[in-house]
Amino acid sequence: MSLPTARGGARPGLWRRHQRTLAPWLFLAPGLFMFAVYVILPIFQSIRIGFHDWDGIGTATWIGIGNYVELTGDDAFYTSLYNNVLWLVLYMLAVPAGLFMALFLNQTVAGIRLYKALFFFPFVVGLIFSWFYAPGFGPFYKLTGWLTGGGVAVLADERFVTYGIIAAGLWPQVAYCMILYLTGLNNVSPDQIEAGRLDGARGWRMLWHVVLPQLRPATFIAVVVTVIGALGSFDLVSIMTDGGPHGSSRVLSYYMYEQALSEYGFRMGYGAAIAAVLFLIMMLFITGFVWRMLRDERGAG
Amino acid sequence: MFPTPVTGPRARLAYRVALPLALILWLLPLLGVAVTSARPAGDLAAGNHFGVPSHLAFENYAAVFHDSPIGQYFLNSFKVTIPTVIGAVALSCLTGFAPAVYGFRLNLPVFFLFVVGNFVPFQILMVPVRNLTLNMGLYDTATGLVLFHVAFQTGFCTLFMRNFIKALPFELIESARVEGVSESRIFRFIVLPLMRPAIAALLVLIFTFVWNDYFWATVLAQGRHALPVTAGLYALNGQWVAAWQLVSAGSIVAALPPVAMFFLMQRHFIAGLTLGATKACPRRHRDRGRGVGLHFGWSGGHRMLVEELPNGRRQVQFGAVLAAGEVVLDPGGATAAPGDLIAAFGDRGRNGLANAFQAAFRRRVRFPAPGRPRPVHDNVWEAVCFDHRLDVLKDLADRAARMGAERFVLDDGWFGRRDDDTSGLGDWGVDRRKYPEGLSPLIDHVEACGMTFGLWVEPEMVSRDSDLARSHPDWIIMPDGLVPVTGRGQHVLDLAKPEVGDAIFDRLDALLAEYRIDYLKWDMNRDVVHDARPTARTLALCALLDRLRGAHPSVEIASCASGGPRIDAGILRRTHRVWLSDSDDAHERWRMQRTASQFLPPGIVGSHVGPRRSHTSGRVLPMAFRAAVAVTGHMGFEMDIRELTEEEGTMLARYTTFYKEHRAWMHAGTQHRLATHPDCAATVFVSQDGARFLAFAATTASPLNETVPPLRLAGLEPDARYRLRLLNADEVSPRATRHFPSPLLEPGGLAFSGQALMTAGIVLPFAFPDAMWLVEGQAP
Repeated sequence: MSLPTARGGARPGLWRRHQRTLAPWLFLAPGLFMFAVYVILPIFQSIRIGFHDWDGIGTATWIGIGNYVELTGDDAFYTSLYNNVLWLVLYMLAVPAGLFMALFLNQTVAGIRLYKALFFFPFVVGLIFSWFYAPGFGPFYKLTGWLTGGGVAVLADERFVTYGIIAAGLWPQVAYCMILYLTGLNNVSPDQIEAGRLDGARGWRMLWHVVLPQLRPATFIAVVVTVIGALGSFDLVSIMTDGGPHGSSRVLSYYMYEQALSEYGFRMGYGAAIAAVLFLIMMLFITGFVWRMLRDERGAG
Repeated sequence: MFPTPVTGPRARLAYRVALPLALILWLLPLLGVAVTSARPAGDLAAGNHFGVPSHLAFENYAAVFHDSPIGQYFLNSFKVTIPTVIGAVALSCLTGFAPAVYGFRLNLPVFFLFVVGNFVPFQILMVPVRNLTLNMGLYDTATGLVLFHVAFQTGFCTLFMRNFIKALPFELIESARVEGVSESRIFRFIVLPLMRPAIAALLVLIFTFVWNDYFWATVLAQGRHALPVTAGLYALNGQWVAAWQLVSAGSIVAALPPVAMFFLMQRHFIAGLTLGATKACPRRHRDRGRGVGLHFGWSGGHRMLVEELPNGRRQVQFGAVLAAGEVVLDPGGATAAPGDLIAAFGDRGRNGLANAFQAAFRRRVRFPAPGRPRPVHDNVWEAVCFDHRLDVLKDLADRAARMGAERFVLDDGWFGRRDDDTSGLGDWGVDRRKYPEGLSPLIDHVEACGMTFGLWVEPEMVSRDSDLARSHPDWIIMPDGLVPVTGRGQHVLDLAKPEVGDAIFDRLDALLAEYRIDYLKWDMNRDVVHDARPTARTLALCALLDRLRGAHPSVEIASCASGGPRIDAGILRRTHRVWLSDSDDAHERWRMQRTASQFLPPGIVGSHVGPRRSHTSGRVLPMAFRAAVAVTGHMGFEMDIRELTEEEGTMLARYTTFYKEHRAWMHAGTQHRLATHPDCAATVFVSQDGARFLAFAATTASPLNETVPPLRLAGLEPDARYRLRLLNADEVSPRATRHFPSPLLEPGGLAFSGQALMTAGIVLPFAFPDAMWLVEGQAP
């Protein structure tokens, strides 16, 4: 007596046998390809270009660390770096401010959905701050004029210009953090809140000991996007001042753009070197973030 | 919810005022722009930057669209944003799935790659990406921008999706694999549908990111046919020097789509942006878990069978028992099986099934006056037994009425020559030795006290020593050649004989016609044996009850069957109350009533306050405990009411008042037994609308520890906030208040969400044994 063989032969096909090994790569393939072409490879290319002197059109000449040596003596670079640090420090205010706003809005009254959407508005508007600061008639100019007797043209004053742009940048960033925290608050376990309330925790102590620990994922993402935003700040600088006056509001990403692409530049190698420095600073944070994320996950698993 | 929701009319008003003020302050720059956008150019030229516009110049908006390519820019933005959003979200569904679900070796490195790429300062990509786009001939096209954005956003989206999928229950995927479902089908039919909230959240986020992009727009495009609105607006800014009204109008228009998107998708957005938060595992308790429940509604002999057949199939059978020869069928004939099978299925544990059964029973019980609340009974059996004296009974009626009774039930002993339990059954005429003028004087007195009158009968039985047995010995169930078996000294009438049913009907009908009786306690105190036609007899009983109810529709009937052989959905189509047991020990009653609640709604379960010293267990129990147990069913008194001390009387009257206040909603709502520990057994009643509940927690023995675990409630509205009140706080034992203050003892009470009360529970104050805590919760 013979046993009937399974249809399709005695051995299942290649796909059937390796389905679970091959499947993840098939799922990954399209996204990974795009990502590799547009993100991963350019990072290395950029680092490579940083060792060249290149105008973007002609042939690139290998100059080793020449660009980096030049950077060490470039005042504009230091100004940009200093401004980036300023951005990083002050931009962090968006995190507690966003938390505060989320706490304020986390209520249920009629129309609260519309309010939340309207508070989200600044996230999408940047240009209008130049109007806000406009010398002569801008509201801020008027306000300082009214307070001190002489109006301050923030964007034209080397002492204030970076602070002015950061303030404008904080506006949408706070809204962004607010959204993240609103979501986080949605996931805060009511049981723990009530348990805390049973134990007599109220207000600040409740926030600090019960709510904030549960908001850690939201805080994590908020800090991450704020750091990225601060180090990558470009739009407002470009829109509001073009790095001026006299280059005093430049940040690294803007300086890089200036060197590489704007009418001053087409020094691709030098721009790429600035980008590499920025990338290095960023890698410090990235490593920290990823390390924490994996540690948390392992802890949870 | 944190912060605490603002409650109270004043706080809410304050909040409602603060909200728009804060919004105005927050959006002040934007409002300035909005006003400027509607300001005529003449105002600006005249220096009127802040005053009221001379008129609302909506023509600025028309001008922006008419005189500048902003319409084209706007279109470009959509041409870039929409394909990017679709592309990035679609790709990241795939790429997020892989690292979340598979444990392949390069899992972490690949995921790390996406994260690093996501966090990278995108300016570093500028030079190579610009060259790549130029080389592909896509510079200054929407396609070039889309391709880059899709690739770049895939990093963030993958991180987001991976964390979302990681939080899904992995068992779903595993069980599908066990069933042999292919990986692509797992993705399509199991994971993808669950990802909807994450997809919605990403749609909003990516839309906003890409719509707002300015950097790449300037790097990868320059002409009006490809430039999106953000970059286009800046380009126009150069042309419109000092034309702030136009810049403003353009900004407002450019900002609207993401805000609209956010507003429309807010609900999904918030739900989807869980940021990988882990969800609590559901606890197993009696409110969860799948189950099937079956009940056979038939008051006669029956058989229940659950078995596995040789072929592996399982079967369940319920059926009435036919005695040999009881039904004889002609060839091809048929007979209908009597009985009423109720089957319940659910995934809310035993309490879920209990709710379904209670509802099914409630539908079957048809009260003569459906709106009438279940009246408080007073049954005199314990007080007088067979020794009926009018003056004593009148005195008892007076006392019962003062305690709050609404129905006075005269038990065994009023008929025939019934001086003990050996005689008289079957002779359903009033004993003139005890009641020379009939029952009327007693009924008149009872009604004068504000109560109605109920009467005990046991119509299916007959005593050997009775006129009925002497005149119709053949009516007794007596199989040929056998000596009839007695139980409690009595015999069973063969109701299957039509003349027997007629005779019983005539006597009961006469009684009900002569006296104002609104309740019959229909007893049935022995098992039936040697019955040659058990099914026919049961059908005859049903017919008899139906006939009586037809003739006297206002009379309620209790199916009183000690030990409970006649408590079922079949008999309850014809009766209105059941009596679980003659046990008058409150501990035993609490246990029985909680168990019976698996099927029986509280409004039909007789639940009486027993004597201080229980006749059935010898236990002495405090009045508060006895009364509290009685409140959980259809309340009544079943003791010699004359034994009450003044203190006990006050306590009983208090609980009776309490019962009357709450019976309407308690009998209409749901009932949930609570998971408790050996020394505490609790039940919660929840009103139909979920707005209030009443929890009964009995301490049955001294707890092993000085504090008891929290009592987790069930069946509440998770989002409702219930204000808690311990109703019998005055019964807190002194030791407890000294050492373990319970939050329930806070003056004014505390309010908690239903969710918290069901998952975290409430800590009850310490109690001595034989105590029942009553915790009330009310949602505003």
